[in-house]
Amino acid sequence: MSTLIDFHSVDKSFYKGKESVKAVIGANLTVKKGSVVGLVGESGSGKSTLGKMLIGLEMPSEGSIQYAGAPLWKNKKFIRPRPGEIQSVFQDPQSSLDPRMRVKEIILEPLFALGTRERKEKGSRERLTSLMKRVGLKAEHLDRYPHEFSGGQRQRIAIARALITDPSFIVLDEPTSALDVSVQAQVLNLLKELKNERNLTYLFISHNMSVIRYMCDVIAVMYKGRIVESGPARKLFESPRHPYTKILLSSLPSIFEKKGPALSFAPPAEVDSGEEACGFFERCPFRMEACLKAPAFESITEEHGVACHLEG
Amino acid sequence: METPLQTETSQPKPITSVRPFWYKLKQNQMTWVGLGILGVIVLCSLIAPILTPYNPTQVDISSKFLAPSLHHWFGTDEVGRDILTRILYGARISLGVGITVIIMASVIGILIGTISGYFGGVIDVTIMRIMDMVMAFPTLILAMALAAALGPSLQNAMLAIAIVKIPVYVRLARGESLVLREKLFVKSAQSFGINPWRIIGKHIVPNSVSPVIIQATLDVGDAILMIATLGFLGLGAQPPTPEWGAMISIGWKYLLDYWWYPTFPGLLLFLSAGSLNLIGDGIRDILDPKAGR
Repeated sequence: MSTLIDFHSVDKSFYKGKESVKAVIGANLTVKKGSVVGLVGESGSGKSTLGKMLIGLEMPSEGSIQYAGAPLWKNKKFIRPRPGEIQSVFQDPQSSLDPRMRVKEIILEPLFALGTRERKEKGSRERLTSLMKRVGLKAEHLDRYPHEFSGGQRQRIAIARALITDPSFIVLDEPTSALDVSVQAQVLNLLKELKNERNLTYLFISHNMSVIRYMCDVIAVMYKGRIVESGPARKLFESPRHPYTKILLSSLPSIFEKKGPALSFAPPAEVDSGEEACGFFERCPFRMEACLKAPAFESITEEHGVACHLEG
Repeated sequence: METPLQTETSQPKPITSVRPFWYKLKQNQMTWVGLGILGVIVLCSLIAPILTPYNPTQVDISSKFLAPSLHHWFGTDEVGRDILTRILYGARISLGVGITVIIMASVIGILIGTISGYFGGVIDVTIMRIMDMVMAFPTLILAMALAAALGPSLQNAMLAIAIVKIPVYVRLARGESLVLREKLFVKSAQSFGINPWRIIGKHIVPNSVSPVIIQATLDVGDAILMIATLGFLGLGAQPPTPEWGAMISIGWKYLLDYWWYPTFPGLLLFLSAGSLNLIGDGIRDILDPKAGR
């Protein structure tokens, strides 16, 4: 599998007056063609920011992002590969669909970034109806407004909108976290089927470990803007290396017997950690003196890597 | 690990065919009063040639200052013209001008406002400072100054009122688009790579239009009053055009001796401005879900 997306030491800082917040720090991540890469982390960990950089909504402060060998951001400008090549589905289908547009207009909207001829071709009635059927909606829904649909149906509309341009890569930013559990499963299955049918590549952003396990081949765990561990999903779930990943996994409800006492966050450290320290120092149950200096991200195997002094 | 999860196509929700707009309108009695009064005025002015045998500009000195009677319901003026006839024909001008002015001001205002709010930055600051300058003057004084500078005519008075009304709509539309541009559907349109003008036209304008409509309805009455004021000051419609403001302007001098001359045009002005306000209030209640009862 060839590399489709390559984040190379990407930083993102937000400024407000003199204060700045680092949302993403030194992120390295590769997405292989045809795979589903999951980004996990608590809110504010920078996972959505990373996704937004791919669709041109946030500009990286430092570092480079390559898409199929070409840089996505050049001189503070977003270079769109092919219009409609990269698409996105957002968390909240309530606000990601314009309440004053009919479903038909909503789905056809991304085509307006394309040339007239291509737009006519891709926006044909047959294509539209077959797409609607594929995502589990009916052709007569095309003339309705978003408020006439349930949350799950709205997310299906958002998926149809993402697919209309025949993308090869889709950023899924918590696509199911606003839905209730039974609908979540349906939407996840739909996304999985579509991926196989159309040979898509996903970046799947979520805070829900079970959803990530169900969907992803590769997982990257983010904490306070840093990718603390990344590796194949199976490996990560079987033998997590970073204490934060361990805590995340031990908090998952399991139908199997627990192997040991549940791991949890440590009380805040009494030592003042300072700028240099590992991002997880404050809450790490295994913190030690060495952690006052941030660990480098090191590979354990070819695909599995972790940023922790306990390893390496 | 990968047990197939439950799959079941979701059931389409049956949609209800209740038209909330008409439903709410039916409940709002004051709006109906307003619509009724305005409707009668508009209808009468449209069929004025059938309703009255007189010509609004025909001078007949022999029958000047006749008190209200069966022949002249609202009396006659200083050159013997029937006041009812002049009021009916004048409604076309006063109402037409009021509505036209507000349409002009709100369309221009919503365009400038959405552009200003959506693009932000230097464009926004420049536009808003210009609007602040316009708003710094009392509207009527500015309209008078503009109308006087442009020369006294109905067109110039309309233009002057439209110009002083624009900033209100700019601020409204800008405020809306500041909120809208952070909405996810606008963000996703941006992520598709859609032309910003198309985003403004398709997302920003349609979603910021309802507060503008409310403001516009409430403003029509005000615009009619302003055009009448300018007419009263001699800056609007010129004689012998039957415009309400101009009629009041000439008639008030005769108020003590011939009370009917300024009273009836004033009454009509009051009725139409009042009914437009009632309609405006009603539309606000209907379009604003938070004000719903």
